[in-house]
Amino acid sequence: MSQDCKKLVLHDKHASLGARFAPFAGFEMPMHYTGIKDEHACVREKVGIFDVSHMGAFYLEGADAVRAIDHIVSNDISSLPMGKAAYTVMCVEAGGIVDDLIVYKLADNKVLAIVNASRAAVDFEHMNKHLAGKVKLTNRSDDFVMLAVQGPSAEAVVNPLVVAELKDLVYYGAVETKLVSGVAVTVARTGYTGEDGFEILIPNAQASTFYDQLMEAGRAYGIQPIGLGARDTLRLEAKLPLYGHELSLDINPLEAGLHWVVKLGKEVPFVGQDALVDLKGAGLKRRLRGVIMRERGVLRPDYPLFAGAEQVGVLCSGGPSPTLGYSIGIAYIAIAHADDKDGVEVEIRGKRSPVELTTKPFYKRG
Amino acid sequence: MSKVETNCYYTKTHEWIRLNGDTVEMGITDHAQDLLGDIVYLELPAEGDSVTKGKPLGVVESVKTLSDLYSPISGEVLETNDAVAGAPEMVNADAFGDGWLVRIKPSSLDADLKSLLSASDYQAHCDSEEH
Repeated sequence: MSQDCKKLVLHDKHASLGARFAPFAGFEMPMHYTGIKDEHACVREKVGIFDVSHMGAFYLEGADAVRAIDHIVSNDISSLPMGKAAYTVMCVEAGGIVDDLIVYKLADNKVLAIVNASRAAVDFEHMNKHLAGKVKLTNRSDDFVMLAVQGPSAEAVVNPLVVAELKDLVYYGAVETKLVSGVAVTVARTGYTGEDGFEILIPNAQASTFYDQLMEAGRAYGIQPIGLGARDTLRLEAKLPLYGHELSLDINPLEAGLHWVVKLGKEVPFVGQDALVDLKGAGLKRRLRGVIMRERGVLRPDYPLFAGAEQVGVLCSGGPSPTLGYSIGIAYIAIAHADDKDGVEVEIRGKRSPVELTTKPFYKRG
Repeated sequence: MSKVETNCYYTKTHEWIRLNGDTVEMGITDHAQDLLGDIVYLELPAEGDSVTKGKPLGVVESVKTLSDLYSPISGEVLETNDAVAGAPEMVNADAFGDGWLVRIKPSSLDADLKSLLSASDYQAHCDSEEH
């Protein structure tokens, strides 16, 4: 294990729960506990708890907090109701994606941005550079533990422990509330698994007790700790992008299929907007597509995709789908072939196999 | 702690062989299956293929990653384990038993054995890799 990796606040707890660790984005993270397949099924069928404290937590505070974030991200935070979160991206001037993030509109003068661990340092610099008005940007990533409770029983597990009534918290709703024990927490109905669930920020000092309370409250529902391994297979089935795979500085949000978070006509223009208007006008060169392989085998990142002799794309992500029983992946496909119904093949170790392209998530909860 | 069988020879790349009359069974070690996690797919050679010591002979895919299989010996493939090809999780459950992968007719066994590891040497190799 690399000595340069930061340990999570709850590292010892994960170790005692049987975690296998691996380095990820500078952190020594739990990869799995009982096994990826088992943990994956637990989240789909019951409920699981993830420690996602590696993610960055930035606060923007001040009279111009909302305007300031609106200049940085592509989604329309000014129009977002108070107490709601929005998935969004931030771009460089040329339109490439700096990171994808969730912005929480907690008050008129207070916005929280949760960013990827692998991008946190770059993000902070980028946000600082484009920050305007009466607003203060603070990196509070080291102050909180962030836990995600995900799965059909998530509400039943979390609700008894918090003061807020979670059945009234809509999808992507966010609330600053307290635990029944009095500890201040931020709870949002968000996640990265394709299931219902919550992401909770809690101060480091109270996190261990809260973790134990969640495990205790979840026992009757079959709760298990879940590692990054299953987090990846869960997000892949839900076709959620991962920075460094589907998203990068070389990819713009329009080709990534993120039109729905790019508000070109919003009140506060954002960094990269002009370039995105031009890119849209010129027409996209490639589109993000889901890839399904029904033959036996496993799709993996970097495998090339062909239509006849022509290479039309390359896989960004890929792996087995534990829920579906076949392999799935995500790729950018040249625009001329992005809607091909058949004839697309993947090449695995020199051998071609037919694949299907899809615009839909592979898995959607019932 | 992963299991090591005393009646096998090992490679540093975590394959085992067991002598059985004039043929040799091979598989991956318990330590290897433990590192890989849930195994979901095996790509194995065909009957009659010739294999060369130290050269790739197949691929093991788990949920999280894939790993090349290297042939511990040279020879000809007599049989692949069809049961395990259809149910790769058998390798996780019993890497040294029902999870065997390929049966080989060796062509230069005595020479090949000289560079394979004993159980205790293999155990020491695994221990050193963990640090």
